[in-house]
Amino acid sequence: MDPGRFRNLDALVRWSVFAAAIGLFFLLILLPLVSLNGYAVREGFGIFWSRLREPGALGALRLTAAVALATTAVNSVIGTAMAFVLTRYRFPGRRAINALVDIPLAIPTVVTGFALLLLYGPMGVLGKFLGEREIQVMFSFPGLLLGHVFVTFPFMVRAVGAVLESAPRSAEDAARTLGAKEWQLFFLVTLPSIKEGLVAGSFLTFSRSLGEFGASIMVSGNLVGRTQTAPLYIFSRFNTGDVEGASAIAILLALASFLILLLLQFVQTGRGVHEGIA
Amino acid sequence: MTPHLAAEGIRKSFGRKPVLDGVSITVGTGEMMALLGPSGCGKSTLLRIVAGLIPKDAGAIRIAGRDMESVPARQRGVGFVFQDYALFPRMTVRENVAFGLRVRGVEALERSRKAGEILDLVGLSEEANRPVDRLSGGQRQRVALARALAMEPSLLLLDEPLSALDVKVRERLRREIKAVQKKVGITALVVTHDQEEAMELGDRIAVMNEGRIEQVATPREVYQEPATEFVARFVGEVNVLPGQMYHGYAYSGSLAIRMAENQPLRDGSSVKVILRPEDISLHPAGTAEAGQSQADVGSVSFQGTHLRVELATEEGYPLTALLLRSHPMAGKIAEGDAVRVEALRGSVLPDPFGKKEPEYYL
Ligand SMILES: Nc1ncnc2c1ncn2[C@@H]1O[C@H](COP(=O)(O)OP(=O)(O)OP(=O)(O)O)[C@@H](O)[C@H]1O
Ligand SMILES: [Mg+2]
Repeated sequence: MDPGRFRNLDALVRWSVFAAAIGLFFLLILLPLVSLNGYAVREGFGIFWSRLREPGALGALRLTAAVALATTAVNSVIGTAMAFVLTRYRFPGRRAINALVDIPLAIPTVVTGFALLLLYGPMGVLGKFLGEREIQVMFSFPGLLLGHVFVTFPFMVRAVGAVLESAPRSAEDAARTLGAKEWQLFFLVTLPSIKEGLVAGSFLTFSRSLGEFGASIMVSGNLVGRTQTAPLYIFSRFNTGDVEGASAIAILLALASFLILLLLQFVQTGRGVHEGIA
Repeated sequence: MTPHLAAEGIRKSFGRKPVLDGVSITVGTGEMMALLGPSGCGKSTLLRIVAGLIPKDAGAIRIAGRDMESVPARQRGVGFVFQDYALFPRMTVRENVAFGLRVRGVEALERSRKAGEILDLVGLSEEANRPVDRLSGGQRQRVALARALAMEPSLLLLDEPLSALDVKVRERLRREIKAVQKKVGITALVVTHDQEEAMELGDRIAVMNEGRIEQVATPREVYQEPATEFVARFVGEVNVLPGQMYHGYAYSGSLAIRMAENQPLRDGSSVKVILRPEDISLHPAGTAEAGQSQADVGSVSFQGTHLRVELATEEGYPLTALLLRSHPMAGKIAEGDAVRVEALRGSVLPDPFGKKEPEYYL
């Protein structure tokens, strides 16, 4: 056989793989985004703005931002604590717990929401207990927060854990011999060394929380203007046939995610450049 | 010398694995003790226990006569130079050096003055404001030393402070460290697995093996009168031959080594004869004089300042000799030659399991 033909075949295969990858990227990722834009402003920016001013629209965006911020704050504390426990301590059951951390990624979010509802809802064990004390968790902000914290839990643990794992511990020992108290050690030595993990984990947690749907719809009760987050709002609007209203919020949500992605890229390459000089 | 550091009967296991098996060591005030031993013998573990960074299973640590049992690391006043330096990244040289003063609440101006003083001492004044990530290995090492000294500790612990550097820098810094230590007058314990480094740095050397101290002595004693076969083999090159005591001499075959007057071994007791290669002298073939042995030359290699000669004695023992280039035999010795071997000096270790030599040698 002619080896030249093989070479041509080779090139052909490579070219088709390339074309398929780029084509699929356009078809699967860019096209929907473009159509989203198309719908949102199909009838002009005026309609777009009026849709945004509808009752519940801006509220949903504001609630989404608030939940995402709160979720990020909560997880940067408990996620970091968990990362510490998993990397710094050796105890029986550590490996099991380490594996369990990723469970929120494996369980369908709707199931998560359902489980929380069963536990904290009016009929649930904890729900009854708290209800008797006039504390309502489900169908309110705390319920949303609980769901989002659960769903995004692994991100911070993994991001901070990876940094902790690779950071040499002798710097902390050095600080100890130099007379640092444990809190000084944490703020002056440990925290600066895990900053990058915290930043990356926060971005992941925040953007995941922005788009959270499955758990939210179960635990929120989807109360317009009160517990309806942006993704729930989009779904509800679409269901009632208001495609423009859904698109208007959808485009803002997509934009926000895109900005976050951009910011993360910026932060990370900024760091890369810094290390390059060093 | 009054001991500044005293460790007594220190034991430590990780899981089921014993790492320190009853280590006792004392370091005199202002003395620099080198802790020498092979990798994994427990040197770093001992240092960390002294600094209070890890708990011990048994034993006691006293610093300046004070029991350290319930004193946490940050209050022990012990400076520690880590093997990987453990500098604080994202801080400048000055900030690193001033860290100990900062966490103690010393005010900024005083901190800066003090740090400047120490940086002068280690020759790093020029680099004071540079981030530590941009320093060479040797400079980092000096920052680590300066940082440990800045809080004026009473005891300095150094864990293989030079092992990450290349040979040239290592030799220069070795002298610098020793000079700084003597100048400050601080008591120091320095870990190394390099015998040359131990000899140059240490006023005394503690040789450690598998969680035990085998010998504590001056570099000269450790080399000339090793307390165990391990020490003999670990510190420098050595020939170990089976032998027996007789009339103040140790005999290995017909090779005799004169012992000191006060050596306690009885005539006829079995010993291991420890012979350093440079303490063996060679003579042209001929009738052996008393105490000499006949040998065949196996190989000769030129090593710069000296010649390395591998021999087999008439009793069949392998023997390595180092001849200075100026030795009368050095020019003419070759593989296959017959020579006479003389031991200029040596030492012995009791060998309770050694087999008796036939009487006719004696
Ligand atoms: N935290 C730990 N957990 C379990 N085993 C340990 C721990 N630290 C040390 N060891 C073990 O204890 C032994 C002694 O370690 P150590 O670090 O004291 O040796 P070393 O003499 O300093 O060796 P090196 O010259 O290689 O630094 C080694 O076998 C090591 O594997
Ligand atoms: Mg070590």
